[in-house]
Amino acid sequence: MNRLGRAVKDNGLTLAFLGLLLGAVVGQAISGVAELNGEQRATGGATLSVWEYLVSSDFGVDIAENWQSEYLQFALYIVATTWLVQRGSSESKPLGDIGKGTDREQKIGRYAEKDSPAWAKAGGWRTTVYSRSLGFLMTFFFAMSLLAQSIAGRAAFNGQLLGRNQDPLSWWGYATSADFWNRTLQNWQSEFLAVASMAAFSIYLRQRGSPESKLVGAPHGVTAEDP
Amino acid sequence: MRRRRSLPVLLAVLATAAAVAGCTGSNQRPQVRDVAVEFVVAVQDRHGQDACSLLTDEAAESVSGATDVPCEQAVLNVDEDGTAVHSVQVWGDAAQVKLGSDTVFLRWLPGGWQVRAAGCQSQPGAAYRCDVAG
Repeated sequence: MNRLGRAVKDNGLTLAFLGLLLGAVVGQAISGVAELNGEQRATGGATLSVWEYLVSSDFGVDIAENWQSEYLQFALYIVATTWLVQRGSSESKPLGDIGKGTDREQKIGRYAEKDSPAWAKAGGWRTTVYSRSLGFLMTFFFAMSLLAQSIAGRAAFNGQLLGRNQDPLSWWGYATSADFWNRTLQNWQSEFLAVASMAAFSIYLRQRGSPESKLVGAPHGVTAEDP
Repeated sequence: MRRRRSLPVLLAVLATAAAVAGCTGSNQRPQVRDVAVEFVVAVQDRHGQDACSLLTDEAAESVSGATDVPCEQAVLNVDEDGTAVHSVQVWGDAAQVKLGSDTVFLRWLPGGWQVRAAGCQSQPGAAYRCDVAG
């Protein structure tokens, strides 16, 4: 296998989902502009090109509201699974391992190994930050996506308000509006359902070969990493 | 217990998209203001035909209402008292201009910006009440 082939194989999961992301966004753009232009034609309005739609507030808010909820899901999941366990679930660590673990268990500071990341070895604030970097990054992306949703959503909603002969809203007015929170909570509830479903279903159901599942023959009561 | 990781590059895309999407319309303000002022001036100067040419089809029809009075005459009844522009807001294909004591709503159509509602007065907790609304 040449270097390119090896790189593709080694990164197959990331590459496959990036490809799916791209395909889904293209499909969303094509179907979205078709829907919007249908509405515009029905009311005598001007139609948009795909590019004009891609930089429109309608497309922006639809993208951002879904992204923020995904990042919220991962941020919460990463942090919650430190402290919360689910007996028998492949998504949970062993019931006796609640908490952040010792430095020895986490291989940080003086317990770091030769090939541990530099900031895991460094100690002090670097190790403190690096020890939470995954949760920090997901939370940061969540916050930025939520901000983007509020900006693009305000633009889209203000267009609707003007079309109904009403005054547009300020950013704060939109961020506290029913439209913003209805869009937001619609997405949040589905993410929470997905996490709860995965935690519970993985107690009793299996997917052979998947790291998201226990071994097919593992007992229901055994949590994923139980010895 | 392993979960998928996300990619930092997404943030740059999102930030750019939000910035562009959130700023839609800002470069259209001069055109919007000009059309609104042109409409008000036409009404004040009693150039009914010019005023009606700036209305959307629906707005032009609404001016006459159920009467036989043509748009060119009916539009002169819209109460306009000045061209001092207080604010211009453009969001997507919709816009609002406050000038004199009037508020005018516009829409971007294939032919450019046109007046969709005029002679509008705000109502507490409700949509504006307009002399012309299409």
